Order: sequence, then C-alpha cells, then structure tokens
Amino acid sequence: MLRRDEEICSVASLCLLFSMAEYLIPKPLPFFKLGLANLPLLLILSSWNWDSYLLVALLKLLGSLLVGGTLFSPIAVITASGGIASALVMKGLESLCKKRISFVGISVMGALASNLVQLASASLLVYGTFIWAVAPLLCSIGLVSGITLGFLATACEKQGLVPAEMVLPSLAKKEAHPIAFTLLALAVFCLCFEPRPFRLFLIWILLLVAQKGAGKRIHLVYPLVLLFSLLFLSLFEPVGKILWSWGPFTLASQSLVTALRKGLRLICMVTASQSMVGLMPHIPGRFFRLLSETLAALGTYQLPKKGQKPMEVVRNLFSGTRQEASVPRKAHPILISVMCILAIALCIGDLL
Amino acid sequence: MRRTTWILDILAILLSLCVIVFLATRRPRGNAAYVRIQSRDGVYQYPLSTDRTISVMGPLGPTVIQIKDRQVIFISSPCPGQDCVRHAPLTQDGAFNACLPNQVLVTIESQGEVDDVTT
Repeated sequence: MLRRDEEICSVASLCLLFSMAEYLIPKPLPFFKLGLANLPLLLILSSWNWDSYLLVALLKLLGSLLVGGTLFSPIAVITASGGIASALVMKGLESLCKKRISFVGISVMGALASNLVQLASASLLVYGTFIWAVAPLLCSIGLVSGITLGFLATACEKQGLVPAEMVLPSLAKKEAHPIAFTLLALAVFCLCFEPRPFRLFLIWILLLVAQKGAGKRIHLVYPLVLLFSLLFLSLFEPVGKILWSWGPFTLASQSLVTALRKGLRLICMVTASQSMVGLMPHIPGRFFRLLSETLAALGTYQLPKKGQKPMEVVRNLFSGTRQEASVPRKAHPILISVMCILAIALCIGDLL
Repeated sequence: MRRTTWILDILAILLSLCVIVFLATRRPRGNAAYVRIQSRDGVYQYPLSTDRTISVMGPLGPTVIQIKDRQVIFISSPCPGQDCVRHAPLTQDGAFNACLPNQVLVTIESQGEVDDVTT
C-alpha cells in the first residue's frame, strides 16, 4: 500500500533540499558527497514499506538530477547507480537486521555501496580504470560521513523529528518548448561524432548561451571542475610526446588532447542537459506528477537564517514552515534553437 | 542506542575499513609497462598494451617503430647498417634498442621502481 501523495512529496522534497544544501559545500572532485540527502530516507527506513520507500528514493534521485541539470549526461548514470545501490542496501539491511543494527551501521554500508558502484560506473563510462586510485580517499570520506550521518539520524529520531506532511502547492503552468528540447537532444547525440577540442569549446560556448536562453542560471564551477578532474587524471597516464614532467605528473600531447576531448564533450553534455531539464515536456503518469509536486514543494522551504544552530535549522525544515515559491524565468526557444543548430553544424562539419 | 546494535555497527565500519585498505594496496593498473622513445624530436611515451605505429625524425630521416602484440620492433630507419631493424623484438621491462646514427633510443619501462621481487 503506497503512502499518500502528501507524505511522499514531503519526504522527497526534504531530501532534495538537503542535497542542494550539500551542493553549496565545496568539494575537490564532483563525486565526494556527504550524503546529507539520505537523512530523511534513514528516518523513514523502519516505518515505511519497500514500495513507498523506493518511490521516495527514486523521486529524490530524479529530482536531484533535474535540479542539478545533469539528467541527460553520463553523470546521471553514475549518480543514479550509486543512489539506487545505497537505497537498496540501506533498506535491505534494515529489513534483515531490524533493531540489531543502528543508523550508523546502515549509513556506513549505504555510503560504501554508493561509492563502490559510482566508482565502477565512473570508470566504465567516463574516467577509465585510473579513477580507482582515488577510491581509498573517496571511501574514507564516505565512512566518516556515514558515521556522522548515522549519529545525526539517531539524534533526530530521539528528538522525535519526523518529516512533516505539507499541503502541496498548486503546480504553475509551464510553457512547453518541444522543438528547442528536441534540438538540444539532437545536439547531445551529435556530440558522439567526437569533434576536435577547439570545436568542442565553441560548441560549449553555444550551449552556455542556450542555457541562458532557457532561463537557467549559469554556474561555471561544476563543469570546470569536471574538465579539470579529467585533465588532472590524464597526467598519470601520459601518451604521446612528453611536453612537461614533474614527479608523478607527466603532460603528454596525445593524452592531453584525449582528455580535452573527453572533458569538453562531457561538459557540453552537462550544459545541454541543464537547458533540457528547464524545457522538459509534460509527461503523464502518477510518478511524474509526484515529481513535479516534489520540485514545486522544494521551492517553498524557508532558508536557514544566519546564526541558527544546526539542530534548530533541521527542526525548522522538518516542521514545514513555508514561503512563496519563486517565479521561474522565461525561456527563449528561438535563441536556444539557433544555438543548437550551430552546435550541430560544428559537430558534423567534418563529415560534410 | 541499545548496546546490542554496537556489534553490527562495528562490523559495518570494519568492513568499510577492509575495503579501503584493499583498494589502497592494490596496484592501479596491471599492465603499467610503456614504451619510451627518445629522439632528437623529443621524448615520447606510449602504453605497451595498445598497437600503434610511430614515426620519429632524426638527423638522417624518419625512423618507424611499431608496437604490436606487446612487442616493439623497428620497421624502418634511414641508417646504413640496419642493425636496429634486424634487432629482436623488445618484450621485457628494461629491454632496449637503438638506432645510433639516427639518434633514436627505444626502451620498455614500467611505472614506479623496477622491482626485483615481482616478475
């Protein structure tokens, strides 16, 4: 028996809020997550059944991919695999061990599962086997954050904190721009033709303009961190003419070009994905309705004020104090379409 | 927290630590061997695992080196003796071949120290 819409959306939007709060914390590589978003999941672990719990986990996952804008890029697969693995492990442990394991143990195992699965998919899809070199560091951070989260969840439970049910806000009418959306998808597809680095850079600029046209605010930090992480890792596997060498770092011509190509292609996909999530057409069905409601609810949380103690912040968030949602910015489909056509032309230009 | 949950919690933490130690101690790549080519052009480096053909310029002209099936041979070189071309294929870590007239030196090396214990 599934829980009611209000309960599901409350917990899911709370998870998203925590994951957004985490986004603000600077991280060396994009995948070093603290897992704050798992706090509400932990709290519903014992009282909710599998169906409702997994529904919340999926809403949390899809919601964070939409908010982060990475839904239509390889990053999505990496994040999704980690999220699903950790959700399954946590609920599985709780079902198997019941009261014999506390939030600390569950959270630690969830973090481990998430990190290992993310490393495996990251190495397969984007980074190659060398990503495993950061595995010990990543898993250590996961261990520490898992323990911390476990204690935090225990404290919340002791204080009787449960995500409060909320009245779901009415959904604002969203304009549909199917042509712009399709052209963006086509541009992402054409990136498979692997244009040369300079072209990829131009394509990225075009896609950034398209993102502005989609009404989405541009955050350059995330794509640049992704690009530099790939470039940095390429220093450990030099191929081609050696241009510069210092200690374990070696810069070589071919590995540099390959890393630039991979990196620029990745950030093009991420940037295009940002625009695409802003223009997504309406999809029927209960799941997508819940998703829309969760995202709408996300916009109504009251942000923590300066000087508030952490426990107070958490309590405010759980208690459901709300504010008016902000109005989404207007999209410019023609600008987006023009940018996409130019980008596609650059991608397939070599073939013509 | 009841005392009985400590057992499984500690087990979970220990399991994570074991995984971390395991990941930290295993080598990032099994085939870390690479081919290092030194010439008048500059220094080049390529993994031994991928087949490719490389041409480097020397004072006499181009020397062509081929990496195939984890073996390195000189395909052609503009030197009078052609000793480098007749040389046996390089396969082992530390093996080398050179075209001295054309100032080309090719060696097989691997990342980190050459370890006498591991083969």
